[in-house]
Amino acid sequence: MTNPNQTAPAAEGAAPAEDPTYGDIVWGQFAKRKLAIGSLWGLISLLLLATYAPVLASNKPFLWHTASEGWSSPWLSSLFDRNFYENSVDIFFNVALVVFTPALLPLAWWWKKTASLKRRVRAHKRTRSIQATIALFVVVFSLVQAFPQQSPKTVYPDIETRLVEQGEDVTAVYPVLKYSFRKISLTEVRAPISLKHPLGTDNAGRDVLTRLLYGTRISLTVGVFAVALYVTFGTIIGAIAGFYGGRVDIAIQRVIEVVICIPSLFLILTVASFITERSIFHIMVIIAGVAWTSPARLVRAEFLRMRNLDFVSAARAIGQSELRIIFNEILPNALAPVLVAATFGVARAILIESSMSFLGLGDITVPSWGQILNTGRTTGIWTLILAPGFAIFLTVSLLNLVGEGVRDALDPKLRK
Amino acid sequence: MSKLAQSGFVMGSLGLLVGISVFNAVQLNNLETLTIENQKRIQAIEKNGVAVTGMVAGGSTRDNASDTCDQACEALKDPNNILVRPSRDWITAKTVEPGHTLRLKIGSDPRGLNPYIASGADNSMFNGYVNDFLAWPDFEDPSKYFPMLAVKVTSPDDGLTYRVELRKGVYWHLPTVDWDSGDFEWLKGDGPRGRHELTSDDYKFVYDMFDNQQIAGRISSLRPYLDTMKEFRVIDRYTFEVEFSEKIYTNQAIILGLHPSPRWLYRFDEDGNQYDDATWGLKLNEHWYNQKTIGVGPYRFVTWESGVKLELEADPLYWGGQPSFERVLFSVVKDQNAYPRKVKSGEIDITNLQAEQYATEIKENTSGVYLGNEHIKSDVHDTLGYFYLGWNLDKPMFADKRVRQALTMAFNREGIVENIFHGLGKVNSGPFGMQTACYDQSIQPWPFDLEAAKAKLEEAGWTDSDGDGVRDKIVEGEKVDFSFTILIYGGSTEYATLAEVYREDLLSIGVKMMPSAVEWSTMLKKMDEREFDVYTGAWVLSLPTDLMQIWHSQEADKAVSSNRIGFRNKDADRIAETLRTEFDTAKRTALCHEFHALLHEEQPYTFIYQRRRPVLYWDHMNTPEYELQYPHRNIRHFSFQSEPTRP
Repeated sequence: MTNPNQTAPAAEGAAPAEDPTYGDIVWGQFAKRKLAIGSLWGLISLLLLATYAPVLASNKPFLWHTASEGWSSPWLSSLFDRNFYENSVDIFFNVALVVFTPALLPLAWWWKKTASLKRRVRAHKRTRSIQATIALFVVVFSLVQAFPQQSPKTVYPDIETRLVEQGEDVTAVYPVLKYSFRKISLTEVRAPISLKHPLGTDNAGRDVLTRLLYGTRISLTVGVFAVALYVTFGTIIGAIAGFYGGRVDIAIQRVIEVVICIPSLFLILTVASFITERSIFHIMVIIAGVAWTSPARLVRAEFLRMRNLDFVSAARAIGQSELRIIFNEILPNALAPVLVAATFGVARAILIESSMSFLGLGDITVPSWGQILNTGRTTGIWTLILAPGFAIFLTVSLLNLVGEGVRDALDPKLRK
Repeated sequence: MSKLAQSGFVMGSLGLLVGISVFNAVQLNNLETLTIENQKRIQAIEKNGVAVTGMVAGGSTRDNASDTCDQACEALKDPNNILVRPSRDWITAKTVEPGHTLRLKIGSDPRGLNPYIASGADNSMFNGYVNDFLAWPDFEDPSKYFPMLAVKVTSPDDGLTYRVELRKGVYWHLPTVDWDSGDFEWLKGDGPRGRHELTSDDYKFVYDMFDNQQIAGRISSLRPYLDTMKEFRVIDRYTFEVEFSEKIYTNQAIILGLHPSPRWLYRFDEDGNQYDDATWGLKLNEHWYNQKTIGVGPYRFVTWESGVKLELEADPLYWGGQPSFERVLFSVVKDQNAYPRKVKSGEIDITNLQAEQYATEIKENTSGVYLGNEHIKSDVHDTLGYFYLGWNLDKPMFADKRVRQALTMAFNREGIVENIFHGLGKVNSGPFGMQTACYDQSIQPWPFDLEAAKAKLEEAGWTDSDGDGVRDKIVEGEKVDFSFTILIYGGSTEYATLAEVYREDLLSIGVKMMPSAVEWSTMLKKMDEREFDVYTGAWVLSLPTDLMQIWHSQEADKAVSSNRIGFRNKDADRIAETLRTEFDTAKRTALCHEFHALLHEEQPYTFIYQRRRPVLYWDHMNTPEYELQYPHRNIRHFSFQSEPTRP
């Protein structure tokens, strides 16, 4: 990750140093805050952990060879198995795993190659490559959703022991942790901490560390998706209210007041108890449903401030449409406080999901941190309380530190 | 360098935070122990005060008891008497010396205390202490009854009419009212100390309440059991007759298990004015005495402080002799996790435990000393009831019995009971209590066998034709995947874990199952409206056995009934109907066994297990002799064998 603020090397230097854009200034300010940068790296590692969870923990071997069956890779075929990874969140991350890992090398090459280009050219190429990657992702994801794979439901470590005992020649290469987040093992219930199970097992004999790893996927997804959902919705509502003012504003404000005057946790619990088959997506929508008011109010305030400024009048004067003024002229300038709120919002969404699971209103089929915590509470296995508790604490702290960094970086008075 | 310092600082603060949280948790625990100890000291002072009065009151009881024995002994000599001589001393147990307080706990406040108006298990438990029944069933042989308030019960026409002769010299407790105010003199009777004697009119009043449809509450759920009751005749002050229109086996048990209820109290308002005949039923629903209770049993109701405690005291004039305890104190302990702590502090003498508490306090405890006190003992005892999965038989997917057998065989019940329920139960195979004669011990539960389950599913036509890993079948011209939802109670991790185990095993035989965890009210609603594929349920059984409620097809056709799964089977109907009117014990057992075999074959329920209940108690209690249905329901069986050892 190079600093965009940095000028091009002198050797290439035909072009004069360009004026920094707003984004460059903010990034430069953010990069000066060591704690924020460190936390950002922490978050990126969490994201990588989430994406590469199957590489670290799976009960399907990467490579499997027996004399009768020959070579195969049960691990690879299990990645897109809708019966095994029932949750779309897992499929999403598995697609990311498969799409991005091969893409890493060309990406590094591309990065190196474009480092010397002019910023505008590079920005254009960057946009193109991001669009291409998203398109590729969407295609692979839809293909996987449309054509579910069937993988063997076997527990390979079990078979391996059996086959070896029978004297058959087995070659198998496993991930570091030979467990799946969902495979029950009634003979290993409540196992203590050991080399075999670094954090012990839960009350159904599932490896806690494995569940924690896969729980990272759930928590991060809940945070990011719920926030993306409510920030989008809240921003649009707030923009409309702030731009038009008058009756529209009054009506929208009253709706917002009705929503915020109900204590959010109670609202969430009430709504959640109406849905009988809760999936993790319901929970995201529920969180979004109560949290959209804060970005709406922030954006509305910014719009009220900006709608009479000169650049808006200028845009009107040249005959731009209202929609264009709202979304192309004012909104980019109004997003700074929303960005800060969104970063803190991710942390809040993770906490809400955990508390819902903790109260038994989550999706019990997913290994979310709150679910693990709830199991720990009712079974009294202390690793089940400490491990997810620490994970939640760590993630939320990192997010808050990044949020503070963004907030300070956006504040002109705090420039270093 | 500064980066290193920075990360060192972050890690340091994290460590500090964790440390503070742990410290906080420990502190809170200590604080709670302290509070409990303080409460205990206060209670100890109170106890000493009461103990003195208890000694005085104890003396005058004995003469009374010996008087009534004659009448009872005489009655037992009558060969026509249905009641038999008790095989053991069960009315009161021996105690070291009177004056002690038995301390028990209840999980929540009762909803009211009138036995015929308020429902709830706790309410019937209190009334079991405060009041007596006509007779007491012998749990070893449910066809036998010991005399209690009745000394003689005869049935001249063999099951159609019952003639009951009451014990003489049984007196109602004094109602718990403010006697000093002088406003309640109208409640005084002509017996000793202004008490009323128990007469047949007190049972006539119960019959009147059954007859009066204005009275709602618990009595309305009892009415169906007595719908064949035709007439109630008072013969004299101590004798009455009940006539039925049909001979039904359970009638006798229900008649003998009724509490008396005093007309002289419940037909009057607080000022002593009698309610009029047209509306007394409605008035009774809101009667001023419904938050208290009255009876003729060993303990008199003293006080009920909502959310805190409920207190009973010994009745010195109890006909059965001196009760074991001077006082019985029920603390309201709403937090189940606090049960062991309350025992440890001596606040309660005995408690049942949750499965997880059993695991941590007893099973994984190798020292043999429970809760750090060698005077605390543990025990595990059987209950009468079972857990099951109820398949919705109206769904085409579960209509085939081979499918249901396969689904049962794919359910690792042994493994779950052993590892998740910590061995607190036995896997059962039929709808009767495993310790009763009705349960056929020769019928083994279906084994946990995934291969056999696969074979059964193939046989029933469920194959994975499209290779997506889930079995499917053409049902009514449409291809259906074998995938369904299990309805579980979301408040308990046990059920969630049970569902997870089942889900994994089912997936390995190509059946897809999703759990749906809901709260209790939603679950009840869904079960009543039959909006489920399969649900986890439990029945608490009663003696004697009646199969009509759960298994008869007429119940399946009702809008809301206990036959939620829609079980319709001609053989089952026949057995249930025959059993209803069969009085011969051997024939009843044979019918039970036939029914057991039928259900085992049909598998409308997947029987999971019969629970065993762990308890912790102080060793000054005698070895607690439990009833089957409820743990420590009957404090008549309790006594102290030594001076209390609790702090």
